[in-house]
Amino acid sequence: MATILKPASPSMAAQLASRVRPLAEAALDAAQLAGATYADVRIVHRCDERVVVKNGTVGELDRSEDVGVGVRVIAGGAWGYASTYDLNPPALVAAAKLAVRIARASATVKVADVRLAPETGWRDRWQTPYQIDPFAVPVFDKLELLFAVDKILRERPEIAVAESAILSMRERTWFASSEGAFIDQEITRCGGGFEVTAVGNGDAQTRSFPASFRGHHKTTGYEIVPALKLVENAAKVRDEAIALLTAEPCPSGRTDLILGGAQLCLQIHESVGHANELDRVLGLESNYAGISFCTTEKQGNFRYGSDIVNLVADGTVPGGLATAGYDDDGVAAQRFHVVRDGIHQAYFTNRELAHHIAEERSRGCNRAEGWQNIPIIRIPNLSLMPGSWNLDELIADTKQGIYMDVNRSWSIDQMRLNFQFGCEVAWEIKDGKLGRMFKNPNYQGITPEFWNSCDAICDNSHFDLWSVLNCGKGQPGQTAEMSHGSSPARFRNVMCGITTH
Amino acid sequence: MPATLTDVQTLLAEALAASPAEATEFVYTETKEDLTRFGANAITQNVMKHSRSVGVRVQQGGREARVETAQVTPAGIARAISEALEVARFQQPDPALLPMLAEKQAYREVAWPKVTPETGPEGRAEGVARAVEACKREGARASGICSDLVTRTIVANSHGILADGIYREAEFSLTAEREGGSGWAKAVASTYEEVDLDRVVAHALEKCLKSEHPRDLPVGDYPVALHSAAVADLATMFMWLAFSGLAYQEGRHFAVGKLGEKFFDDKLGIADDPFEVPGLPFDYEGVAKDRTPLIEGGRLVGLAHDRHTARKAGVRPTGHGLPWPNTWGPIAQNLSIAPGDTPIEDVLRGLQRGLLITHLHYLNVVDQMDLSITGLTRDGVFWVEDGQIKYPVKNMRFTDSLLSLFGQIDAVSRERERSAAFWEGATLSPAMRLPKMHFSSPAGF
Repeated sequence: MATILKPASPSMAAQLASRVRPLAEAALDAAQLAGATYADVRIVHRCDERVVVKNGTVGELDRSEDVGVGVRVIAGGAWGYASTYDLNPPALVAAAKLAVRIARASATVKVADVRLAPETGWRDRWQTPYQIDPFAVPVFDKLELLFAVDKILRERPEIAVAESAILSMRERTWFASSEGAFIDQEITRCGGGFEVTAVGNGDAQTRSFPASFRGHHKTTGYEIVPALKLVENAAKVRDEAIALLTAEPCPSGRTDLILGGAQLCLQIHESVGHANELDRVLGLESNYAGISFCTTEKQGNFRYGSDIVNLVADGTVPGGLATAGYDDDGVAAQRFHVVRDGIHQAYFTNRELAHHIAEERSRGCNRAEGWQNIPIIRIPNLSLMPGSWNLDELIADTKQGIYMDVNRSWSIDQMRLNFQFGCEVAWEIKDGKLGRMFKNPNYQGITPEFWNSCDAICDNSHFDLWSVLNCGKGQPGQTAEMSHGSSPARFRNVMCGITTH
Repeated sequence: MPATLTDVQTLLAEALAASPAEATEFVYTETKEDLTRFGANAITQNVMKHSRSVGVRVQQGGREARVETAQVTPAGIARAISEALEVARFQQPDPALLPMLAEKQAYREVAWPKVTPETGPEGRAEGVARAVEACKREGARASGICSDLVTRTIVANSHGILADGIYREAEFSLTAEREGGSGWAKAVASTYEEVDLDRVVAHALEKCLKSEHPRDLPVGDYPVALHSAAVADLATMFMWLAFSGLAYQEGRHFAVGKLGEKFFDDKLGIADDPFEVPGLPFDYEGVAKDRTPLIEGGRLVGLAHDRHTARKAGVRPTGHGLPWPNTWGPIAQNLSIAPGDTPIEDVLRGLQRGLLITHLHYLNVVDQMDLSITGLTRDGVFWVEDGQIKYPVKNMRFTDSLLSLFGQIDAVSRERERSAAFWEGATLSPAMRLPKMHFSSPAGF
């Protein structure tokens, strides 16, 4: 039996736990003495483990551990932020003073003073639950599982690349503010998946399981990994990749489109998630990722989708990658409708911007990557609520159409209107039955038109929380994780099969 | 230098000497980034981030593993070595394990400008204020960034490899918006002092004011004049799709078995050159870089190789390895696109009927095997007749292949501009005039 590797994080995190209060107080005191009217401190300790098997060998076997502190202040009515890896009190004090100096520089170019929506100064300890600590599972066990998957994936000669992975992450954050908050929060994420590329017939085709971009992940322990049934699905997915080499290209034209849950995850993320970040809506992201068509006068009255479309943000849902007790403003997690019965309801907000839409409390969407970065508005867990259809019945109800799933490519304009997304695989639907497989499928649409064409959503038995591990935003660039729950849904008369001519 | 530890090299040397592993490699990175972000005429985010870490790779008994730690101390590094050895123990020995680099390397010097005092938050705010005030005078809304980045990278291993380099990058970019018009411009240099802020402001405002009340244009094929920023956007797709030695070996490359063949117009030349486009003179395994020709006269003449793909291909590594082990493969990050002989103003003047494009947005791959991509125009698209801008048009999505786009090139400018790329990388791009770009759907604004 393999030795259990000692998990890297608890020892250092435990050492830190005894030091964080005086460190945070030193930074808060220094900031206020330097003139800050508000200050918060985040001390963050993060561990990551990546175990990847590629083509019969260990592709990556990485562990990383990171710790540092970020000090955020308001001085002169403007923000300043400074961070350091040095956790000694003089370094924290220096960071706090620098943050105040930066804030005073910010104050020379402001329109109005920063105004924070009120929030209780929470004092709490919160953590995501898990059954099996992923950092306590032997690396040997992870490699054994991945090599078993790899062996099946490479059983056929057409396979050029087989890559499987198990990722684990733990982040512990201590948040303290000059308003009296002190929150100790620990989030554990785990998951995995595989992708396989077949080459032949002048082509290369990739299939992934359960989804692309490293698979399926949740705030959970290692118990998710056996539940993914990677070995059990390896042969089927491999054979689909091979079959795609000789499949016909996706036909071009308008047709009814059923999207699987994994692709709907991306659709929700890009065309609803980013479009409803209030900083984008207000034009603050204009120079980089863009703004949004969903401007503030639309709140409460804009028909975003058909009346069966309900999109719910939920920072409390068990397993969600953005599930937490509190955001990095120290605001408690919440559940709310972004779209109810097709009508737009709410934006993702933080304490700073909530008052721009006359809301008295932040919806708790301010998050930062690590200690190095300032919190910015982030998409929380955001799900398309299930409908009433069984998938077989939905396909049977579709006379002519295409079923697509698993994202391969994504592009959307700076207003979040014109999108074009590609999937790994598609099947023709003819007279209510799945038929030929199509390769290189893609579709294009305009966000509100697309969501208004939704006329059927599958039921809860098909629903899952799909994962986004790589959401990039901001400058300096930050990555965040979130989940999007979905079950397959049908969209009428969608442009599919976009080509280069 | 950003490193607060002036004796990092000594620290790493002592840790290498103390390592119980058969072979040990360190990749030390330290980053100091000052960035002021503004939106809707106010500074919205203003940050200083300072981070550092050491990636520790060990080889022992035909096995290897990597552990990264932010604890850059003798004890922290020793602990990382110990953990890497423990992780490595769980693998089967790999008889084909590539030993760490031992061959002595000659690192060329990158010509960085004389290091000047840091700008500081006050200096950046002053630059932002100038841009905001200029936009406000025209009734426009200003958004953008002003940044100053310095990184230090050290690669050291127990076979005597020691590479130590810095990378500097400063950027000022501005988006000006008014009445449905949007204009954008950016300057990237090695230091903030080299950034021509007034030129950025003038260009962004000019685009903004000219692009108000844009008209609809039917989708289809149009000749285009691309500003250098748009060419740089497309060059990024070359970087991902066309130059990876690993993708070529794995058969997921458009030119498998056709290295050396002609795919593009004679006027297309691309090389990776960290000495012309400032970058690190070595890769993350310590391999020295040189100029690597990739496309010459429209022929695909080279690929980026790390030590692992180079061994398989039977060629010398080109110095494009990422920290090993990785599954990404080699990446060429310092692309120099060959200049042409056309004065930049003639690139536009020569456009009889077509579109002038400022830059592109959200590019992604449609099919890696035929180099087809998609993306959108952004921040200033204009209908041109007889070399003159006639009116602004609404943004459109293009879906086209790099093979088709660059299969025929009408003109390449003499002048080139630097753009930021990925990690410690940049692109040097001319403006171009192309006879055809396929626009597949309207954006509607």
